[in-house]
Amino acid sequence: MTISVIRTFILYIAVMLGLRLMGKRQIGELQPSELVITIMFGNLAAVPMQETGIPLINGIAPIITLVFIEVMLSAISLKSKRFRRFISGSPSIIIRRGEIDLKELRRLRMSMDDVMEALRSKDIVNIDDVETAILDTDGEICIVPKAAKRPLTPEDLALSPKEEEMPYTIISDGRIITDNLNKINKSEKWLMGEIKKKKLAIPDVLLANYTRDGKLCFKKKENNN
Amino acid sequence: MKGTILTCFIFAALILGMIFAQMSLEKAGDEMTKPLDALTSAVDSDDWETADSVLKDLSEKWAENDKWLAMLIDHGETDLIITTMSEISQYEKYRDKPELMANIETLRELLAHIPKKERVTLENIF
Repeated sequence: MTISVIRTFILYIAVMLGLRLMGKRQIGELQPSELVITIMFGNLAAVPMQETGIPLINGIAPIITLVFIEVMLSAISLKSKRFRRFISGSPSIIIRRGEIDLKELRRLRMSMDDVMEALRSKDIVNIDDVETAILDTDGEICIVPKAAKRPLTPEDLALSPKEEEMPYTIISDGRIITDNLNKINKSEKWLMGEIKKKKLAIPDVLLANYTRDGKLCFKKKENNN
Repeated sequence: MKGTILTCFIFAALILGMIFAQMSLEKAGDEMTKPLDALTSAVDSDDWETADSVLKDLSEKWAENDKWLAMLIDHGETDLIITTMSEISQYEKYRDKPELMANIETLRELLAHIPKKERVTLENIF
């Protein structure tokens, strides 16, 4: 049993490293080849985890091989459009200029229920409101509503709002995040001074954000106990 | 790019490791099979003193190889080899020639199977 536990740790690390090496896409929407590899990962790790008679390397070697295949496929796909189309397929337009492409739907073996479900998930209940719908290679349906039905944007109102940039978090749960403090070229001494002005101490601060326009916003910890 | 290079590097290391492992398996198989020929001829000519020393030599060689063989081959196979070697040692001790000869042949097959199973052949792949 101890061996199984140790093997589980090792295989977990191997699978995690593999997924990290394959990049962020692997944990988000998956392309067909990525889905295949992710499913295989689970099985490859599970068998040597339980069967202590199987050498650990028999689980790790195929995982390394799969990571290599996936990384190589991605690298070649980046260079060649034809190869990318062969591996991942190409997006399919299922609604074009408001007209449903029934031939394409049949080819994709998609029912109208599937289309309506996808529309509802994008807050569209009437199919007449859709200008274009594209089924992407990762299975996600991208919907472009008709111009009159899309949400209003500041551009429609001839407004030019100021760009909002992400603030830097400099204190999180009573701890100073030195990396972010360095990014805004401020010292801990400065931060302490600012906190003192608010009659607080670092451990009392739940969150402190520094905005791009130089504002420091504090959120105090609540004493619930 | 860093990830791609690292993956290629790890995969290249895996390939080199595989080649080295296969060479080591072949070497261990040969090393362990050779004393069996000497053991067979010693038992055949009732030279129990030589058989005894060959068996000791074989056990030492196995102890050396067993440490790393378990990392590469099915643990069931190493267990089977250990069991067969214990039987051989007991049959040799009590001079049971027919059983001893039969078990030597079994051990020979088991040892030959170690590199054979890992060899890159169509039979193993499919």
